[in-house]
Amino acid sequence: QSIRVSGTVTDGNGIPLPGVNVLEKGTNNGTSADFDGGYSISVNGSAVLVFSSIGFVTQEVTVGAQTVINVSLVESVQALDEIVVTALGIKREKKALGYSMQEVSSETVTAAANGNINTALQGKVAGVNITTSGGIGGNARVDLRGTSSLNGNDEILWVIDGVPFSADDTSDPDDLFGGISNGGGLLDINPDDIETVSVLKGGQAAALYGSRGANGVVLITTKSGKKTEGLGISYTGSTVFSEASYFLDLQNEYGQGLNGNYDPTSGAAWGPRFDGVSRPSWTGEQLPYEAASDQLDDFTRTAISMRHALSLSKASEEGNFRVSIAKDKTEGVFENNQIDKLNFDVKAAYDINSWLNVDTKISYIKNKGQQRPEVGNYSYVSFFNRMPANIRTQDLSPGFVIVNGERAEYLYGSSTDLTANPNANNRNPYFIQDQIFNSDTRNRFFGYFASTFKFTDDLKLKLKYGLDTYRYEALDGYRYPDNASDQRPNFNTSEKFYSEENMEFLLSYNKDLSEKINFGLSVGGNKMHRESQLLRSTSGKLASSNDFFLNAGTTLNTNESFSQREIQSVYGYLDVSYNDYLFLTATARNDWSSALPIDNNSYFYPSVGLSALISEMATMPDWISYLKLRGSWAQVGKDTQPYLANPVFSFSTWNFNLLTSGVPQGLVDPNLKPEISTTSEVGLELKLFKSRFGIDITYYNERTKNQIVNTANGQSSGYDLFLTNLGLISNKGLEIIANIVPVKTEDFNMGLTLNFAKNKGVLEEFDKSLDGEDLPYFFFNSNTIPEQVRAEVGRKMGDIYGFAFERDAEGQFVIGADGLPTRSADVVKLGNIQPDFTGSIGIDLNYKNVSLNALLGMQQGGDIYSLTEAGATGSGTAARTTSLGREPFFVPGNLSDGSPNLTIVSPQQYWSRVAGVTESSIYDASFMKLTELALGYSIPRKVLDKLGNGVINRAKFSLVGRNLFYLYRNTPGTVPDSGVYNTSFGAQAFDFSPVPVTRSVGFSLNLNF
Amino acid sequence: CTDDFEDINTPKDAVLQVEAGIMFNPLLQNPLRNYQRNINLYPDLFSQYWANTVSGFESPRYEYVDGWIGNQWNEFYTQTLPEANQLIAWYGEDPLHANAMAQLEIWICSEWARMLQTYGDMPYFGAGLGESVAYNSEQEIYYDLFDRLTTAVNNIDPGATDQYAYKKPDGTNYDLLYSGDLDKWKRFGNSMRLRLAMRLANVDPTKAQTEAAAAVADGVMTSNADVAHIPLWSSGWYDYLHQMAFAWNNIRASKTLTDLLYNQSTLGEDPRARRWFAYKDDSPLVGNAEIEGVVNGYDVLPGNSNDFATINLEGGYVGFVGNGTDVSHYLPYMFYSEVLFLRAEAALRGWVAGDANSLYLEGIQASMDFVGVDPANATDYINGLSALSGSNEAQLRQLITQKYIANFPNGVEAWADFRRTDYPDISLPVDGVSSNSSVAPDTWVKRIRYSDNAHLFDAFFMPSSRNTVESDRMDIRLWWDTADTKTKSGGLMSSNF
Repeated sequence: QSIRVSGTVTDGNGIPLPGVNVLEKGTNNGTSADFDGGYSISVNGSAVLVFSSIGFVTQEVTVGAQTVINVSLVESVQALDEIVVTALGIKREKKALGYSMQEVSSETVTAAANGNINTALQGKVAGVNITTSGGIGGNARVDLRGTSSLNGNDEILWVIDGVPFSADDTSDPDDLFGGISNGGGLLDINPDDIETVSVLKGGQAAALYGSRGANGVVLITTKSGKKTEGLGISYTGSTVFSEASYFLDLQNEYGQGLNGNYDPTSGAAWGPRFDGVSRPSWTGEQLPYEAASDQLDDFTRTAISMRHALSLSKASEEGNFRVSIAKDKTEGVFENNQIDKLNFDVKAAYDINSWLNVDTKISYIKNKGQQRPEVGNYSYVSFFNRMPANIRTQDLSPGFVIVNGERAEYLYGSSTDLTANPNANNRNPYFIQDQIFNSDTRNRFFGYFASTFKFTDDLKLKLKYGLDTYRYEALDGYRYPDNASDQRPNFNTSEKFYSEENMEFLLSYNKDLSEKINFGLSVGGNKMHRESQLLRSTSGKLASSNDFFLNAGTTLNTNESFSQREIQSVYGYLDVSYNDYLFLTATARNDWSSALPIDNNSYFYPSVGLSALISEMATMPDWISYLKLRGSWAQVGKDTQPYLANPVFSFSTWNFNLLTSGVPQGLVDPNLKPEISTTSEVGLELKLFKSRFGIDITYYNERTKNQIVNTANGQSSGYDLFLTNLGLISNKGLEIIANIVPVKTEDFNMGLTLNFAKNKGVLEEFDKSLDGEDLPYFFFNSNTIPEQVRAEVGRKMGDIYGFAFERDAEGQFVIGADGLPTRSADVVKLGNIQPDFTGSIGIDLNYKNVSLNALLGMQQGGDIYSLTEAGATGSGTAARTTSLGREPFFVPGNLSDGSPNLTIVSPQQYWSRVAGVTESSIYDASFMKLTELALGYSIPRKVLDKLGNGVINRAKFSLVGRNLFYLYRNTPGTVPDSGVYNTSFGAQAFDFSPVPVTRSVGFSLNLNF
Repeated sequence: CTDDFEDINTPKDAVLQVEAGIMFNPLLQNPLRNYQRNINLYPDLFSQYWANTVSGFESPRYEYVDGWIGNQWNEFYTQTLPEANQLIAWYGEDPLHANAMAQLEIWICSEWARMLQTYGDMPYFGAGLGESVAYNSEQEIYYDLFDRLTTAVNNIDPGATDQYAYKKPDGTNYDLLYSGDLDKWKRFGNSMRLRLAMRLANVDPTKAQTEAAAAVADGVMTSNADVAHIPLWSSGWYDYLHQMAFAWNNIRASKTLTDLLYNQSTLGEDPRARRWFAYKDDSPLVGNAEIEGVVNGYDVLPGNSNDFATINLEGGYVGFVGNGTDVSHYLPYMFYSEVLFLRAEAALRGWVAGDANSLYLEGIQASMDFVGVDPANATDYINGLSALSGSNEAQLRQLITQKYIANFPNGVEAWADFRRTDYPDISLPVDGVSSNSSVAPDTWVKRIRYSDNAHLFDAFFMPSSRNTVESDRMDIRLWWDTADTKTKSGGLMSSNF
């Protein structure tokens, strides 16, 4: 008959061990120990209980007549036999790895109730830098060990349960002047489904993924059904409130006008000082001349993000399954901006018989965005940043007046006709908010079917088919006419269909050749086929604002585009271990890519890695629990984008509905070859004092050559681009991960995780001019602003170029005949994007049932150009424009001939000049911030038993905060880590009126039944 | 199993060769591309047809902005020229495309000329064929353009109806300039040859005389029906003058031009003034007795700049109101009146037959007609003008002043004429030449420097005197610009004869 057994599980020091699995041997009946190490389970009288936990020797206890069984588990040396998932889903002991990999647990990912995997990983992996753009539901740049590519071919491969998952950005603003960031693909991932995230950083780690893994791989393993006591139901709910924060510092002392004179028709803030005296305002009404309330603050709202995730799981001896559903609703800081997400996932595995196992996963994800805001010059924020402080919200809103039955945009500016005034660079944000329309939906199916045939104990064959496919549809347009463009109102629609199929096999053979020597060999093959189609229709100017559909357009235009790529691969994987302390791994792979010229489309690359567990090979002092040295060398080949190597003529229609065709803009090198990236890496792992202190140090040197680059070309040749193999980029760096447990007592635990990463990416070789001089590579070079982002041979990539002040030998301004500082004739180097190092500090405190997790993220060095501030400086709204007062003055400095400056200038003239000199708006991008903070309370078992009649196994309530504050930063009110307009490397140099970064607080509840 | 890779890597909508008209069409519309950056912010402001009204736009004070006019270099060399070369590669040897290729040749020579008057020496022979090549001297290029224009005009056979035509029987019309009228193309080609010949009047009078006489003899434009102007589709979008001068409030009429509309004839107001210009409805100057423009070259604009006169989108001038159906505007390329003024100048120099004064008056009349002035008003105005008189310099000043007015809004040509003849009196920027410009203080801008891209990739081939950004100054005179306005005495140059 059944009896109830309870007790406490402790470690060798008598400290309670939470989370220990307690299982009735030979059954599915099990539970896990609570926070205090306590457990309780009903079993048969003749049962044997199995206590297991990672890092401890599994212990079996026969129940017999006992009702209280207290167990002390012994820490095993096998503590160190942590099993990790590596490339191709191969599970390996971490000690056998010859390269660096870092795992992030599901608890760490979800600690701050963040439904967005991009930001949830921020600061949690050494060497991974994540910058976001586009606000909620927007894109993120995930950068691993710097950029290794001149052409943006540096995206990380995301793999979920062995199947590549498209992180493509459906759209990324390609111009810093405006655009909308629509839904990065990674947002489709449900963080609550994640079991672990493994980041494979080095070449060897990724070698088996081939071309697409060359920039690093993030492997996500999702949860599977587990043997548990109870119903196997888990619920997580959270609500998070976010406030738009970190606005540009603006001045509140001077209002509308020019040269110190009040002018209600002016668009700039060069007027007199606020005095409260009543004056005719821009609307004609008499108003006290004073600063209004914070206009941008009035415009934004408190964003709310709500999330519910439910999962059911079960497992038996033969198999397991898990079903989960999650729903997210996030309202942005701007009116009507909203993202809705639904995740549905089924994962199951079953042993059909002793030699066949099937394993499958099906996910459906729906991600819908509405009223996403523009970024850059045409963003709401940009217009507010240039708005004089006396403009009142109640006058700006609702942004229009009715003229001839139509909404006409209404705004102060340069004349008395307030509806004639708005133009592309001067607009009323309230009107735009009402006027713009956009919505997008992505319906994604993702999953796989795999079967594993076990021919013998040593020989297995796995066949797998994986599919990632989505249909994306988007509508956008402008509802009303305006003065910014004569093509409004308009209505546009886009559809994208994307699919990637992966078919693969892996034949694995494992054999213990002797007592000491173990041997494993796997060979596999993969065929990847990816297709996408895009169809976009634009209406041109609509006949009327009421007819908001395509057919009402006056210039209906439709464009289609295609992309198709196939890569076929064969690969092999060999591992040999000696005495469980020396491990050798070698891989080889050959790819054939459709994107390369037929004659050069096959490429082979090998890798080798060695791991030596010194602490097992030699006798070590007691205080050293683990010492491992590792090294690896790997090559990975890369192809390029489809069609790039095959330029063709195409048609489009233009004026008078006539067909036009142009010539391809690029010339293609007939001998184009694949890119090759070679990484050497050495590392050391050390654990001291019974693993209370652990450190993992990695040094790597990655060299990527034969970059397939559309290099800038002398335009007079007819082609401004030449696609060829050029250049060599080196990325050298150091990564240190430290885990410290300074305090560990019965009631109180403290853990620290430190991540440190230093990377230096250098352009070692590039193109030469006809004179043999090294030419720079441009990561950013636009025809709208003079600033550039360059790589120059022998230098750190990402130099920011712009105009500097001309200075004399004493460093004083050289003043022009107009009395203003002169600027350099040409652009000069002013800074560099790359930080000196990045890091984070994770703090975990546990006191009884209370836990506190904090994550501090930081960056040291690197520069950013604040176009946001440059714009506000020209308008007289930036805080700094009051720093010299507002009286005419002589700019200190001498004329170029050394004579004194005798021309007096107004602050308006001075700051207008300063705004055009890049140097004045370059900032050090160093910062440290409190990225995440979570305070949790686990309701004690006894309370739960009373409350829920034993139905609730675990309940945890947390208060969470994200982006709460910056401990330091140098930017003028804005933040240096989230101002970019898109995900390209060059964009990282610019802070340009992004969607405001938010500060969030909320709560979450986890329940297990 | 990689046999299908070639298919996979070819877009489904790829084509191997396109019909000539499909590529000729964008070539004809090339001057419309980036009109603001390439033309309005430079020649239109330098000619002082227009004045800038945006503080912070420093091109009117002679600053070079690569992102603006650098486009002109880029677009010409990477689109216009390769497209022309591609068409020649496909159809150059085909007798059935002889007329089409000759039209193309006339057009591409005209576009070369527009580039030449912007930059001076340029990569010409072998340019656009895949490699950077040497910069050729202006003289070499002008001489070659004369030959090419002559050959192209001769190659057009209006009677050859069996040939491919840009205007097709089904009504498709890729020839936006002349709608398939080959005689007009011939006259346009000769007129272009005359324009280039007169450009060399001061520097190479022998060649200029030969080419001018030959061009006129072979037949130049004969009426306003021959005007070369590019239509802007009413359903299309362009950053043309109506955007800059009206929608965006970036420019207003220049005071230099509007003054000339009142001080030439005893009649007073030039009847073209109110067809071209008007005040915006909300301007306090509505009802003003005169059309008033803005002074050129402010650094910080006065607050009321946009109150001044601007484009009259309802005044009836065909260039600003279009044809009333599918064309909303026309971008001028060459007016019939310009050809008459060119002939008048050639006659003044004794290079062609005809009376300079009567050709000059015909030029004004042609302009009045084209602008749509009431004939009686035109006659009154013309009667109020004094006949060409005095020294050749004095006569040329009169002639070029009227040519300047008539050429409005073709700023490209007006700027070239000013640099060549130094007429009419164009002012220096009121707030001075910008200290960020490569033009010396109190000096007029004379050319555009080579683009950043050219300096980066072509320095090896550039004229050694200007192969760095510093030495590539914008006050260097072009080959045919032989004197400087600063040497004027009593309002007259001594350099044009």
